[in-house]
Amino acid sequence: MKILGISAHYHDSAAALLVDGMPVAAVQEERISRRKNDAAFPVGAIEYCLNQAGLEPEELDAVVFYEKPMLKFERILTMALREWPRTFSSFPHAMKSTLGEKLWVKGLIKSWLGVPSDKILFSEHHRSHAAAAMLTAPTRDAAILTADGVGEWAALTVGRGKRAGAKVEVDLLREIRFPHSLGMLYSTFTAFLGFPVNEGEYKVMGLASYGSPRFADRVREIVERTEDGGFRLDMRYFEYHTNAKRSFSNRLIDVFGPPRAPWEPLDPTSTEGRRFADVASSVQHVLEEILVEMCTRLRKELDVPDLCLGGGVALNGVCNARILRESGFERVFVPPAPGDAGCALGAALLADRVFFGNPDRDFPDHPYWGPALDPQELFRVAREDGLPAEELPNDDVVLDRVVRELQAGKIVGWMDGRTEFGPRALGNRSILSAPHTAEQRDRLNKSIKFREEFRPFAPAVPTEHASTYFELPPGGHRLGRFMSGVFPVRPEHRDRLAAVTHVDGTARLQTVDRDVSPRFHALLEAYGRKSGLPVLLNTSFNLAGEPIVNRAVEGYSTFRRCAIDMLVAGRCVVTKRADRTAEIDSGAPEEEAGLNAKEEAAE
Amino acid sequence: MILKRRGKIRRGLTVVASAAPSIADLARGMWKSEKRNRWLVPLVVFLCITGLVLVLASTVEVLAPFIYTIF
Repeated sequence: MKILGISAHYHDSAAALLVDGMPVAAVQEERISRRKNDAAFPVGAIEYCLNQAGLEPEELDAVVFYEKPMLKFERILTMALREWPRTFSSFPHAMKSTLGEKLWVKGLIKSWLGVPSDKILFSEHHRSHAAAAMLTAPTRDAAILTADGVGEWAALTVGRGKRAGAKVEVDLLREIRFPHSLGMLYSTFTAFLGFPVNEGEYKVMGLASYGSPRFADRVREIVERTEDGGFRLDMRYFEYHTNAKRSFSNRLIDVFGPPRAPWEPLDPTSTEGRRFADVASSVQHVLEEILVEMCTRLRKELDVPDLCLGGGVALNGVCNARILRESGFERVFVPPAPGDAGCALGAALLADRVFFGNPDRDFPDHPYWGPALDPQELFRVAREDGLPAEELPNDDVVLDRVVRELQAGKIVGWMDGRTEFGPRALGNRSILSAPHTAEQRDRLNKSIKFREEFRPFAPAVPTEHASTYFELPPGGHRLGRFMSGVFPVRPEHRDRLAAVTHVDGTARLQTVDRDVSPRFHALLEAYGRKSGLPVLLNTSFNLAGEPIVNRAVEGYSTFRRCAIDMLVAGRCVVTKRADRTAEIDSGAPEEEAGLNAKEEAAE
Repeated sequence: MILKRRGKIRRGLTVVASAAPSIADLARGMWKSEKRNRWLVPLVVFLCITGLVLVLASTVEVLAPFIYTIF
């Protein structure tokens, strides 16, 4: 069967295609459209998926949308009426936003793909999350926990997935409904701390390490625990359910002090910065407490060793690592795209395995489902632009050259194979650097990523060496596979891993398997042979405000606009002239180098 | 392969034409789910139809001036 999964209209739309139960392609629309977190109907992503399989839309057996828009509409309307008249001002906005394209998904799919109505299916939002987590993991029987802002009604669900022979079950046992939502709690504090919602949650997690959870008791008062192991938010502190413009109320300000304005600089060492860091630390601490307790209960209730986590909250690597350490589960699986984009794949898998009852298949355990790289594209564009591009004879020469550059403190844009599905760059669209010094980290922040200084960078390490440099609990290697866990760097190596060691001595590492990323693994090994440390700093190949690069020309454009020294696409290598790198590094006026990105970062 | 780029009007009309079953499903679901929500059904149907009219106005722009006078 040929099944297309689609997620769209909230944030990060995506498409995924299964043919005979196996994935052929999956990609976020932002990678094609070049609009960060593009939520539009993913026409580009669908075209890519169909192209990859050589299919016409008429040949599809089913198209599955990841949630039920009509149920979502019912929730929005019910909430608006329940909170009336406080929703008076937000009601028109909510209706305008919902009643347009978002509500008529069936018609929209028909209008774009021309498939008949009976081929269009709808999954439930959290069931799509659950399927994306469970059916892509190498487990046969696992507990499932999904948590995000909100789906149709549910904001958190627990369930169980079984893959026994041909029969597949993904059952959700209980749910916590909107407005009581851990995702919304975290997003509200994200907004309170002056970061953009749905994008700045990483920053809250990074900032939390600079603070102490001195407000944790106050956050606990806001999140009341219930006897059944759930929680209930004290909605007097929130406005996200009544107000389209502000998510927290004055009562929250009374408790935690004035919120930070987005344009204010944030220095965690200043008094005010310290308060914000403490608030971030407190909400992070309480989120971890709640989820660890829920998972512990779930472990006792279901008595299975594996846990699959899904939903946007599963991007919180600190929380995931604590769940692994403390909840009693032996293995914790987080898919490479646990957010809404991953639901496209989850919905397609759910339709295939559960709705149509097709036989279960083991899902290939890697994230590389996006468009493939064409190195010749880089060769052409670099030559047209007047930069020397070389095509090196073989991989050994490429690796040797890259290692030499990295050892010399250069920063390398590394493109290889197919784009990753999900928000992490896992070695196919990455910016790489030596991980040894804090100065290197500062250079990356200042001249390449144009982002806040308090945000950490991630290390990549071959799986077989991970425990040498990082304190991994049992199961930690697996959590590191898609950069889903934050673990302590071993104290004796922190000095030599200064660029990737966060202020609290931790790192969100990626463990690289030879089978999954042979070329990236070989690079890490080659670097290890030369430097004695097989670890590289790995950050996503993009500038602030832009999606991760997809094609070689996009990589080249990014390379030209920031201080990356060398760009590698397959065996094609382009090196920037030293004078230009120095110019960008010094922040001297330049025509095109990073100007736009800097402006965006300042915003 | 590129998806067939149907005209905006044709796409809009396809959306409008396929809306009735969706509205009926929603109304039926609400009627069956909780009795205390039944009074919402007429409001939901009204809002859905309003939404459809807006979709129609944005796709068949020549109709827009006539539609806006309704409001």
